[in-house]
Amino acid sequence: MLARLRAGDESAFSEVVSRYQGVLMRLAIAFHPNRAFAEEVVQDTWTAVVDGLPSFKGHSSLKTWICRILTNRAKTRLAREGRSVPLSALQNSDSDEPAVDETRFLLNGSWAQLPQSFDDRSPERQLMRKEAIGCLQSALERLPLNQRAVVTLRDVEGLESEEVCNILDIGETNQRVLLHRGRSKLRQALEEHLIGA
Amino acid sequence: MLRCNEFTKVVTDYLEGCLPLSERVDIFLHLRSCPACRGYLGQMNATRAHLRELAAPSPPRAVRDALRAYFRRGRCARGEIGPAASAAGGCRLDVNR
Repeated sequence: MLARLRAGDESAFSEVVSRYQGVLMRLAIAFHPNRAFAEEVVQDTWTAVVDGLPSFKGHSSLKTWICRILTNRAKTRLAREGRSVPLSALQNSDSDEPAVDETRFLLNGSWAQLPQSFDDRSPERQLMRKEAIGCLQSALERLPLNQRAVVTLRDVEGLESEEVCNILDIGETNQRVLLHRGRSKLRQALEEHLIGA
Repeated sequence: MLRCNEFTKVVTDYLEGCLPLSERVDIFLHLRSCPACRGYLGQMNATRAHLRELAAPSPPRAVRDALRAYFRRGRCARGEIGPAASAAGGCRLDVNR
């Protein structure tokens, strides 16, 4: 693919745009949930990709390289607007926030009530899936930026954790802490929505 | 002996496969005897599975065409192709939306 791009193969470029536009849009939205912002940052990224192709060394995958460009563009833009972009877990105030509310457990640490399955509740599974997706979409938007970015790349896009670290320029442990906090909150949102706990 | 509330704290480390063997064994044994934590793990897995289904916004046609033209002009500016192949000239991205 890279060779075709460097040779100026337009259809290869179109293919790359189609393949990565989705991840770029979602990552941009993770940085700032605003469609106009995301579209601008993504376009910025693509032009930077075209300009940077001749000097891209291929040390990382094309996808990682493109996503890193987006991360840098988004950070620059947000900084220009006076917003800080705290990607480290340490910069978050919720460091000792539990994955599950303490009141769900008995004093000995066992569950007070059984966590129920999300899938067998409704006879209309299709409807439930739609509801779950809608609920997750809005819960994702409510996560702090750093958790949202990690969950988006790791769980929505299914990237390897190493790629996620590389794109966001954060450490492995940091990434896992953010993923844990983000996922735990999304699980809770789904539980409240589907089961009404 | 692992307790349920402790399991919820390490569930991501467990799913990400980065716990030492001894802790994985503890969790395995706990899960075997604890339907509540199996339920919790099921909820975490269902959450991950639903996250994978969040819709992908596909690029609007105008954006794809504009990018393609930009790609062509970039090559033109570097002298890789003649100006005849360049659309509007100048390295700007034109998106008509």
